[in-house]
Amino acid sequence: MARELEVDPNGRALDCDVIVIGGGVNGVGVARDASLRGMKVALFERNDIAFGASGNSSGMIHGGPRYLTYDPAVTHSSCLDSGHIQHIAPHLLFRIPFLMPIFKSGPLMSRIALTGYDAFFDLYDAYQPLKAGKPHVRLSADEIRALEPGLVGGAAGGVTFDEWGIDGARLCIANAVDARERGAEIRVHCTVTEILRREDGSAYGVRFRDRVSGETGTRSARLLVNATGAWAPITASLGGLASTAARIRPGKGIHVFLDRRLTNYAVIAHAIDGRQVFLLPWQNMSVLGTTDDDYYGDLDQVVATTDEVSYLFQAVEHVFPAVRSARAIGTWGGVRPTLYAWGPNEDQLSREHQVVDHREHGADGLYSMIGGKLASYRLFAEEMTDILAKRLGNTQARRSHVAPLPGGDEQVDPMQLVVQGGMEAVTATRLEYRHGGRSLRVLERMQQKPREAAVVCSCEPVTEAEIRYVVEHELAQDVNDVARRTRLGLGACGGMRCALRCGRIVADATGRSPEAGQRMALDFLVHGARRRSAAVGPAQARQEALTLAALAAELGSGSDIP
Amino acid sequence: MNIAVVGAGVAGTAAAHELARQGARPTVFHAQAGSSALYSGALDFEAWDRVHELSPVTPELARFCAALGAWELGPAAAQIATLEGNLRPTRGRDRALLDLQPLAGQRVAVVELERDDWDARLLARSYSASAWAKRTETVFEPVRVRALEHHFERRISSYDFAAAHDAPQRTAFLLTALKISGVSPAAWLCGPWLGVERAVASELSAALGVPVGETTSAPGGAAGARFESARDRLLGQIALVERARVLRIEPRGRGYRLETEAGEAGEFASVVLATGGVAAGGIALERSFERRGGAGFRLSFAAPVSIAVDGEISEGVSSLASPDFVERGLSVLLAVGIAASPAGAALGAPGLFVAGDALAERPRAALFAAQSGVIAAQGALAHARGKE
Repeated sequence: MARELEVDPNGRALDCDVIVIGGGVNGVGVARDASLRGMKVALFERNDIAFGASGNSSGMIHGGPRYLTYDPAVTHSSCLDSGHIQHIAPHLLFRIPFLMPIFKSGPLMSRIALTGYDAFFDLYDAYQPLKAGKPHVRLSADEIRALEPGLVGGAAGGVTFDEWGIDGARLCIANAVDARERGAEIRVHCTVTEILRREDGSAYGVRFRDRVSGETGTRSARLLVNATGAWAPITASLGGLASTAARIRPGKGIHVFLDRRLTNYAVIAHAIDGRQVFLLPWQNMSVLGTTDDDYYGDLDQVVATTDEVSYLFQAVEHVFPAVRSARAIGTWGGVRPTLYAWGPNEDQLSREHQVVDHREHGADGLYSMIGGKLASYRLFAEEMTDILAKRLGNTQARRSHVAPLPGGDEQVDPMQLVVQGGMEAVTATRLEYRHGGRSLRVLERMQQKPREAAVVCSCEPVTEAEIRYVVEHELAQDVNDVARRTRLGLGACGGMRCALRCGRIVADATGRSPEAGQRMALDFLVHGARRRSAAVGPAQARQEALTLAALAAELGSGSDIP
Repeated sequence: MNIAVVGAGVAGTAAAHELARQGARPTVFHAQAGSSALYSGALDFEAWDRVHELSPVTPELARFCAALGAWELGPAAAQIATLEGNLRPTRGRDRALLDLQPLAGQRVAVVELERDDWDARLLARSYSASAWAKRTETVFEPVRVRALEHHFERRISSYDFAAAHDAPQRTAFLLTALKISGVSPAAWLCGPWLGVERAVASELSAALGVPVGETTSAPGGAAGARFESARDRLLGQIALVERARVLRIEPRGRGYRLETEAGEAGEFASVVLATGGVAAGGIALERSFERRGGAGFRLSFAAPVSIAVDGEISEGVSSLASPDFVERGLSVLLAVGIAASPAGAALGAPGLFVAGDALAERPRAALFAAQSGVIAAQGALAHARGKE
């Protein structure tokens, strides 16, 4: 360790070992891993944890079958890490069996295609035990019809394969909470306005502004990590670096979510341009995804467009016609921070990751994490933390693959919550999914204050105790934050029945006025409406009209939602 | 004189009443609950914060409200408490809603009980923090009342809880609970729980000697149910009621022929369309992602009228090209409707009159709907008389 890394330019001791900028899955992953190894960490997130791509992904920890043919080592490490994540956060994973129907003209072509897929997934099966996945099954046309009667006729057969789903936002929250409990300072809604550098160019800290309180300040550290995903070039420029120093190729991806599980299997379909898209049973709804398009707009305001939604529906309609009459209740939009390349089509871009050491740009001590994906976040964070540990002379063992995430250390039977908390079974099951062993802490609140057992959002459902818990222990500051952590207000009614109530509770829990609570609820409703707009169909249109009229009756013309 | 009213929400009922008052016996067609059944209990002419002066109430509208029996239209605006913690003025209201205006400067007890959709403590705090309460020094306090008889009442819908109070012994139970609470406030503010068929709020007020009333209802709550109940009583006295969905309205001879799902429904000299907007299902959104551009808003029945939004009348009949809500905003959903003159005459279809949410570009407010029903009825009547 170089001596000048120990102090700031004024000779003052540094506040911490590592500053992480960005509260996506990479940032919180590094903050957690570094905290596990005993480093002193501060993390700054401009919006909320999992605000960007991490909270708007397809919600899968997949084993990477697409790499199987040209880079089986990636498949091996993906499957291995999927197994690790299962081990440290068992409550957050749920099985998603995939169904790939084969449509080919002529029996010969069908048989060839089917045999090809069968052989391919035979190879993949070898890796499935690493992640407790089941081997694939080759299915006849009749079997496919029996499994998913809603599929369009004419499939010659197909194969199944096994993957794991996850709530990406919950994964990020679990990492952030764990880091915090291990001593890290985690600041959300707090943006870095400048990366501070010494005369020799080395980076030693950040200037920040809290976007809620307006408080400004500085924090110094021996090393800095830019883990801001699609924002990485902007973040690099805050340190006076050229934005090309942390270059990415931003790829917008959207998902549409439907009000219920339409299928038991994830179904793969082909879009008009030949890309693979899917219809995914995910938690208590279905998800259509995804698109991949270069994006140059405002990263804080990424929303799906009507064209993108139509593209997905049109594709899925071909294999699952009933999706046409399904009720879309919202969209996710995120921007992938893909590795930069000029030339290739979006789909051909690498999903790999890399660490940029900005010493080559004259900014020693600053690193950027570029690329990556949700499924391999832990590995990427570990690689980054290894580099930090080496620089800091930290020799502690890697533990992020064995140390349980909050809630992952203890199994809770949802029926226990039903019996002890008087919760309804569905409330208990959803609570246990989100919090694992820590659902007992929410239960404890209810036992101490029975009033808090009230179900505030009945679509999901979410109780008052859980809202107060995520405000007190999971860094939630407003209704949008609560929704990200609990999925409150994201059901069919779009928050019509719960957003204002949630606002009152959050305001109460944070010592703000009822009026402030109403403002944050309106903010949530406006955001939600913007995100739903592109996907509104017949059934949801009635709900939207009703919501708008109900809000106008409540709040007058001031409730106008753009 | 044969006049049909299609739809029996606020607008259709007001139209039927006005027709009956002028000596006609209208036929009212209706099939499903619309948005009137989902209203909050507040009666406005338009967004309440846009009204600076007291909107005039015509004698016809006042007569309709009196005939309906569920509404109160006082000489001045009332002040009501909403289910979401706000206080706001309203021109009229469902009779069960507590008018706070006479209670200015006093202590109002907010009934605290363990229902999931009700938090008296935070509501009282929110009401007390409102500008009106501060200006008038009115105080809202939560008061624990043992008003739940069974544990399951925590989670039943507020409509079911309100309906439970229709039983006289249940009203007596609530009365006792209020009496033994140990406080004597200037008034009791309850949630929307005070009966559907019976006037529980006024019974309790009389028994306690202080006003007892409700907040507004959430969509699908007690206020809408009370309207429907009052509506059914009124229509039973003044109209022929056909509970069938109208599928088609087409010109025939000197008037219009109606067809319902049950078949031929007769010919009428004029017709009032009070079929609601998007929320009620009178106007449907069609969307096929494979045939984008070929779908959009359309009437949920066939009629020779045009749909309009933002002052634009759609080409062709009853349809509009697919709207992009990202560009136009979701508020289009409240603006789309049947193109009509200010007097409610459907454009291009003499003898068809439009009222309520079915009108393009009009406020989605209950009192406006009632007023537009009266106007449409007058037009329909004049048209029918002219034909005779």
